[in-house]
Amino acid sequence: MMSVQRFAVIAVSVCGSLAAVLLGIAAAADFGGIDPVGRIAALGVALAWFGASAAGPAYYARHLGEDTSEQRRIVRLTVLTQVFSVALAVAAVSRNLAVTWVSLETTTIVGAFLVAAGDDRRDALEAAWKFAILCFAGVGFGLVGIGLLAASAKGIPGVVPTNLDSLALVAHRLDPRLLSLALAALLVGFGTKAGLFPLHWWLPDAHSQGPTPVSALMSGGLVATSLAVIVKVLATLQGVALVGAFQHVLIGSGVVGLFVASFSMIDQRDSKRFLAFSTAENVSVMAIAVGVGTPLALAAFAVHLLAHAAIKTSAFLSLGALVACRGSRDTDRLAGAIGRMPGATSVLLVSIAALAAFPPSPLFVSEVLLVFAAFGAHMPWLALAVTGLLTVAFVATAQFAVTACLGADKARSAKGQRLARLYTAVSLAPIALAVGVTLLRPDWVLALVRGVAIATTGRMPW
Amino acid sequence: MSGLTFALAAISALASLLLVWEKSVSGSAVIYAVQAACVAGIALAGARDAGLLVLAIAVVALLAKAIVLPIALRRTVARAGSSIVVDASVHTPAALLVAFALIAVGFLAIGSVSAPAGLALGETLVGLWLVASRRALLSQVVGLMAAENGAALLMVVLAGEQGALVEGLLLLEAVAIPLALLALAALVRRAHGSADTSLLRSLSGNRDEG
Repeated sequence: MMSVQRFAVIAVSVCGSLAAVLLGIAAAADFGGIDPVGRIAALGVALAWFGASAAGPAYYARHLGEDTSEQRRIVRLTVLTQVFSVALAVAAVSRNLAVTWVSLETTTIVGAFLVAAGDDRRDALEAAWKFAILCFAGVGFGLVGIGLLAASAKGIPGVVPTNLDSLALVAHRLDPRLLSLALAALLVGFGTKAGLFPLHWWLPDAHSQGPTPVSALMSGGLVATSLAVIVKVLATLQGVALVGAFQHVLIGSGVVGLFVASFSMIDQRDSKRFLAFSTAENVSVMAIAVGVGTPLALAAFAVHLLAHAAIKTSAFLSLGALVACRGSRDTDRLAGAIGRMPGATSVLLVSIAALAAFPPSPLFVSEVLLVFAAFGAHMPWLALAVTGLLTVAFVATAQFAVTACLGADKARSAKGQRLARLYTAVSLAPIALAVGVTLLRPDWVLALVRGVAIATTGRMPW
Repeated sequence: MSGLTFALAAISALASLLLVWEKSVSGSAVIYAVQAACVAGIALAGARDAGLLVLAIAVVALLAKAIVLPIALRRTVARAGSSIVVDASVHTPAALLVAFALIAVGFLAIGSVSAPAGLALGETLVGLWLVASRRALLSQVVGLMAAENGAALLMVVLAGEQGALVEGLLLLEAVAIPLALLALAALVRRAHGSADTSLLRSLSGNRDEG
């Protein structure tokens, strides 16, 4: 007979999956008047939320044995995953900075305990501590930024300083000195949550040490939401002269971050940590796109954000199946898994190929768009730097794929456990959707991408 | 800006310098309580005419920041053992000089807009400096709590007229973050058998795993 705890895990996960699907439909169909950047972020959150929720019962099944305290821990973990996801969804769609701040603060509080629940207890706690300290400091800066933004609007009648729509109407009347400080604080605050260089130090640890569904949720959803908030703030102030300086900061952060992440991916033996550095790499690409700031670059940003959320969710979930089976995250020990777990390994292989921007990956589309945008913005050096560094990341990713998915089977004994086939099916869904959308290019997606460019720059991307 | 607001902000800034100087976490908890009482007092003074809800939130924030949290911190210290003393990676005189400089930076940045806001920004920076320069888990928590006090003061001074919204944000920040950190610190200490963050260095990423 099914225990109450097992039933609770399944029930909560099913509810979460349904909520994620509803969020995705609402964002895709433009219900509720969400702005285009919010819709893109909400779609990213929905994909990661669905993956983390639907895969949860199968992933945690091995912990739901006879031990009731362990069962209760998994129930708590499942509930916290849903709280984290709901907070992300609210932050993604909100146009009020105070609401966004509370939501992202909630993700930090809940996220710390989610990361701490990783299988390797001591390392997971270390990662959780780094995540908590850095992100709490970051969101503290975010609060300072909101306060300074409010101060910059002081004396302007009728303005609600935490509401982006209200601020957009008076953007040119805000006190420029306070506004520059506010933007700096907001960039540090939300940039810390997004994992922008050099505020990304928590990211490789937290994304690699947490339970796999949590890693997928953080890499797919948290990063998307935090970046979207930065874009929303910059879009609100479009036309204000000093925003250009912050876009240059984003380009600098992105290029150095891309350099650091790409080279950190080379010969990375911890497979989950490899994916975490890949997230840092993709965050950097998106930061560069926002920094370039042309309509084409913002279109590239939108495609990249959505594609990365889908692909990374699939990559983490499929890798989770292999890690559970092998009982190790070591890349060498995953080798040969294709013979034992062809389904999960194939999903991982496809995900890794997509992360390497191998056509028809949507990341190929976004990266080509970004390079064109950089040339179009008279930044040929940036286009060349991005191309060079993405080549390094491509080589590192190919090396990882060959070692982890196609290498000879070196495992003497399999001490892990196999996950249910449903888990593999769930891990396949996000990437299948991403590649399908890339091939079919439905009108609503093109309209949404165009909408992001128009909302952030006021001009059509093509 | 009233003279009382400036006086409380100045005491609060002074408290952040004392936190750099104080050696024990228990003593830091008392200093934090004074600092938090000043910040919450300014919020409460601003909330007097803003309606019952805002006033209620401000009172709860004052109780939480100035009484509940310092007690929780001292209890955590007692549970961890009475020997917890701040273990700084920077000598106290140097740390104090940096803290003075950070207060000055904050004041120069936005002091012309509002002197208490300048002090508040300085307090935030000093709190973050405490986090960066301390090794013991609980003293990092104190540093972050002090930084949150600074951020809260800044919000009250610059955006206080937003009423319930600001008070709500401050209450969340005042209670949720420190409690979450104290709980996490207890878990880390239990797992690692130490409250020294210098031991938390196992995540190199390239080690052999079982």
